[in-house]
Amino acid sequence: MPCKLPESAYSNPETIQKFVLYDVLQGIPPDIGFQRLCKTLRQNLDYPKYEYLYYQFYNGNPEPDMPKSFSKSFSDLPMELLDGIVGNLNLKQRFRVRRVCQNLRDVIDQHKSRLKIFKVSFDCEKRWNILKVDDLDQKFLKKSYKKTLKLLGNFLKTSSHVESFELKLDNSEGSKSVLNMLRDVSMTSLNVENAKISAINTDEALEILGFFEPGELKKIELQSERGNGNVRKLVEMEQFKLAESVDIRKFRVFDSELLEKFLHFKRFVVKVNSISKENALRLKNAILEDSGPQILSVSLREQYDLVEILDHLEIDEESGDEGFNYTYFTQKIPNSSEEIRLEFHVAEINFSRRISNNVFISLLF
Amino acid sequence: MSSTEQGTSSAAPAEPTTAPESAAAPEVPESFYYVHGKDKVVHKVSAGALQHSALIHGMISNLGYTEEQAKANPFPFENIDGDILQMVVDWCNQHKGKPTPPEDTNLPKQKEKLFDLVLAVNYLEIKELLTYCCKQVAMMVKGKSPEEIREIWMIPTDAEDEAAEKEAKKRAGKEAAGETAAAAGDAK
Repeated sequence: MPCKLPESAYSNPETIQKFVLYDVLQGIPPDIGFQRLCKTLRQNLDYPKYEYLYYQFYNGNPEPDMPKSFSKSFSDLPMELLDGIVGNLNLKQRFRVRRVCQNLRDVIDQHKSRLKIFKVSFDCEKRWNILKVDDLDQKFLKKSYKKTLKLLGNFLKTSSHVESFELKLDNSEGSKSVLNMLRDVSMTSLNVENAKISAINTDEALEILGFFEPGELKKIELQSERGNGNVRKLVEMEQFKLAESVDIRKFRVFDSELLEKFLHFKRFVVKVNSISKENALRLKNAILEDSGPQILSVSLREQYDLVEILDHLEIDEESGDEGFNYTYFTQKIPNSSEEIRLEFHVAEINFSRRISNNVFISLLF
Repeated sequence: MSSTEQGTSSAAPAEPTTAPESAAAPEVPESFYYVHGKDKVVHKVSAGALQHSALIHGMISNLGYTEEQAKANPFPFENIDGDILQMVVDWCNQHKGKPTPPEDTNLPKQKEKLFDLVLAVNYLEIKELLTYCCKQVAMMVKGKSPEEIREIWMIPTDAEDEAAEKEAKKRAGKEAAGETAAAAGDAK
């Protein structure tokens, strides 16, 4: 049935906008929608105008103004294209592009990037703070951190993955601001692979660790100047339980009973008060259970009885000693090309599992 | 309607005497399709080359056109300039059935051309070429200051932008008022 409305009632700019919105909602490709609309309205519409409106709606702008101009400006490209272009820029370049116009600022702030390095270091003994995010490497004055932190927050918020996250916090205002920024951006967990956190307030260090997605976080390194970290709280965290490697030698010296919480790691570095022969055997058995390379390093505050431990571990043959530094023993693991190696230093015992020396040499030749 | 007859060499039927492996199954003749841009110049492109474009591939996958039907129904891409479509067709032909290399240095260096190419490639959904184009656009501003970037990417300042928008709004308002008045006139 022919439409009885006068043509002017449906061919004014506002109504045409609604037709374009309809095409977007129906998922009609712009070229087809344009041809249909021209046919329906019996008008030769301007394709660039139609396409502009189409992509404005498509990209989430419900009330686009009619196009300002159709100059060939790269900032007018569809959002997904700008995102693809921005993905090819390194961080320094992104900073520069961000300053060009509002549209590019929005694109960059929403771009999901993968960061290799995110490092912020506040050190009360130094005049400068250090900031390193990928190729962006800056030193900034103690008091002039606010603007930088805001940007860092944006980068973290939009990063899909951070390979190495390194943070050193002191008691300064800047450190507190970093923590607040992290609280702000970690409404959704951050995908961090390796985390190294050094803080005077160890509760803050654990709080920050809690911002990271458990399971994504593979390597944890915690340090505390006062050595008063809460290990009991740490071992209950999901991030800890699902990690592969942990180094808390400088976080706190603890009792060796807690070592059983560490046995699932491929690598750990800890410091305990002392080690009993039973705990030493547990470590050896943990090494024997899982295949693949493993290194468990236990520093000791108190002296240990080498003979008693060796006796309990049923190792009686000394493989050699590296000068006066340490004595080591190797034992072939049955039905495997790997061996277990035990190193006894003055205040440290290392258990490791690796490809047997003989196999390693045969692989080389 | 003129035709550049792209890729005709590969359309020539294989001579039986030149086929070294006569025992092998006879080759299925390649099908060709036709496209034209704003300038109406028709380009003949093999289905293999067109596979790069998800849009065209989707359009032709169920058509089953004969050579005559395909020739009679070229795909119109009115929104793409002729020289840009030529570039796209050339690229598709060059990369037909080949793994795409990590770099492509044959993209246009002139920013206007590259801009049009990006839009065309995005529209035609040629993923690999779009990746190169995005890289090329990014390379244009490598090591440049914000002011230089603004110039290279032909971007108006935010202030210019706002002024232009105000102007456009005013113009649109006037146009709408004019049309309403005309409609009122019609109604009388």
